[in-house]
Amino acid sequence: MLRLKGVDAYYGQLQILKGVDLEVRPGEIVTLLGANGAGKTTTLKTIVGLLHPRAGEIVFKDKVINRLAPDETVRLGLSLVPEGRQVFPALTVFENLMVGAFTQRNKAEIERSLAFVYELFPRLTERKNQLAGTLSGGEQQMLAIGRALMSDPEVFLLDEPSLGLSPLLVEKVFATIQAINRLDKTILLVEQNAYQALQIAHRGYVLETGRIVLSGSAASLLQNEHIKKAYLGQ
Amino acid sequence: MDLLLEIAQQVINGLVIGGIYTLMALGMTMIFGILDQTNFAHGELYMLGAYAAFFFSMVLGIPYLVSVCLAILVGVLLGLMYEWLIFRPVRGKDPLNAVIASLGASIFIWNAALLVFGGAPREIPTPFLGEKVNLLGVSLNVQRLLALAVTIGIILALYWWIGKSRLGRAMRATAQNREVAALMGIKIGRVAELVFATGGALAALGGALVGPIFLLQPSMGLLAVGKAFIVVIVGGMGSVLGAIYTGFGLGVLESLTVGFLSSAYRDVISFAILILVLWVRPQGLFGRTGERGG
Ligand SMILES: Nc1ncnc2c1ncn2[C@@H]1O[C@H](COP(=O)(O)OP(=O)(O)OP(=O)(O)O)[C@@H](O)[C@H]1O
Ligand SMILES: [Mg+2]
Repeated sequence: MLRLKGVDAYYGQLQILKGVDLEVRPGEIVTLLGANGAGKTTTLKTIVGLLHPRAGEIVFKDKVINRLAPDETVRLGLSLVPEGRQVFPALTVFENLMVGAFTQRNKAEIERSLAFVYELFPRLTERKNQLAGTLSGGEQQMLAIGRALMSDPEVFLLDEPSLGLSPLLVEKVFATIQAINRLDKTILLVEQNAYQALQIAHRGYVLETGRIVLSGSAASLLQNEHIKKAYLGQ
Repeated sequence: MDLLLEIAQQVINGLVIGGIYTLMALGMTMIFGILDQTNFAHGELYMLGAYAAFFFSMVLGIPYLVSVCLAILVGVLLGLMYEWLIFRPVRGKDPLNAVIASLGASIFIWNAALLVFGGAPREIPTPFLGEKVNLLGVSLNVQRLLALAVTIGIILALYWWIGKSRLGRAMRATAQNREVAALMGIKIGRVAELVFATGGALAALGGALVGPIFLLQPSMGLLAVGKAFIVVIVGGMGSVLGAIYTGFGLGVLESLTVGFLSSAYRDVISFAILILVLWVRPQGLFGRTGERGG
């Protein structure tokens, strides 16, 4: 469904991604693990077109999308929940969700997505007329996820959704991701919380200084000695 | 009683002028708030709007109100030209580039207008100019009332559009976080075209409305842009509501100053307010520190 082949990405002269190979198949939850600064966010930015690869290929639904801009990749069915939530602070909860539905022109479909998001996060319903900037961190994360769902994506990309949340909320976020996956949405999940990510993922990749150093089924990665030491603190 | 009538008269005059400041300031504050760019050539949109109205009504003999609508169209086209030729090429670069580019454009357009239209002041006589209505003892010029009514109507419509429509939401989202707005599928280039077309339309409308009240001169934009700038800063850079309140407020204050003190103080007052606000509340009356929008 989504495939990266030997992708190199740079910020100016600085090479961040070095030949990244990665595949996400329909219906899967794939997690991309790595330490701070490994290049996880850069990988997601390159996929959605905020950054363009200097070498290699990104293929989505049999189409090379290397040069597409973010407003084009979202129309193809990719949707990113950015790192650090980044809701629109001076828009209300409802307005944030409607901006998420910007690419949708069918009123009935927008209504359906809206009802779905409100059902998934009843808390957002209660606060729909509140400015997003006044929400708690956990509520903002729900809003960021809800907003990304409003474009009715096929592949859902999440950048460290559990960052800065209480253990209880982290549970809730991971449960939500699983629930979304059950609705036939394919998921690429970037996490530092390796243990929990591997619990819900089918497969995983490990990124270290811009290179994929390990990949495999979630179960095999949970047993891997290197992962145990470096990411699971065992 | 005479004093009350005099005050009422000055307030109405002030609202007319203030409405024009607001029409100009709205475009400038939107350009700043949504696109992070400063348009020093905004006064030329106003000037060209006035000359467009003059051309359509005096040269082609089209009725005044139709000429105003055509002047708005000219404003839209000019706004798009600004976006494509001046602002898009420098977007995402040092903000100073936009300042220099628009200053250059302002000087160029002003001089070109001087060459084409000549320096002699011109007037647009309209059927409403001589007419007066009497409202509770206050005698009001119909052209001024018309200008005020149209201004208020357009500002209310704009406010609704920005606050409630899909595109208005997209503009506000872009103002708050351009990268995430793009992730939502919003095309930033389209938003920029929309913002400049709107700014051009509003400024040209302002010019076409006051054309008959004051005289047209190629330099009229330079004077107006200074005032509009003060409104933008005092209202809070990027704040639509701030521009509306400050624009009308400044117009009324100036008019009362001229009426009761001396016209010598007219420009003193706006600079005094500017300095005071920069001193006590540097983010402007309606400005937010940090996040932007609204
Ligand atoms: N805009 C930028 N300009 C220059 N360098 C950048 C930029 N953004 C990130 N980098 C650098 O690229 C490298 C990878 O950053 P990236 O954000 O992809 O890491 P990450 O794996 O997402 O880390 P984290 O877990 O901390 O979010 C880092 O060394 C970072 O300093
Ligand atoms: Mg990151």
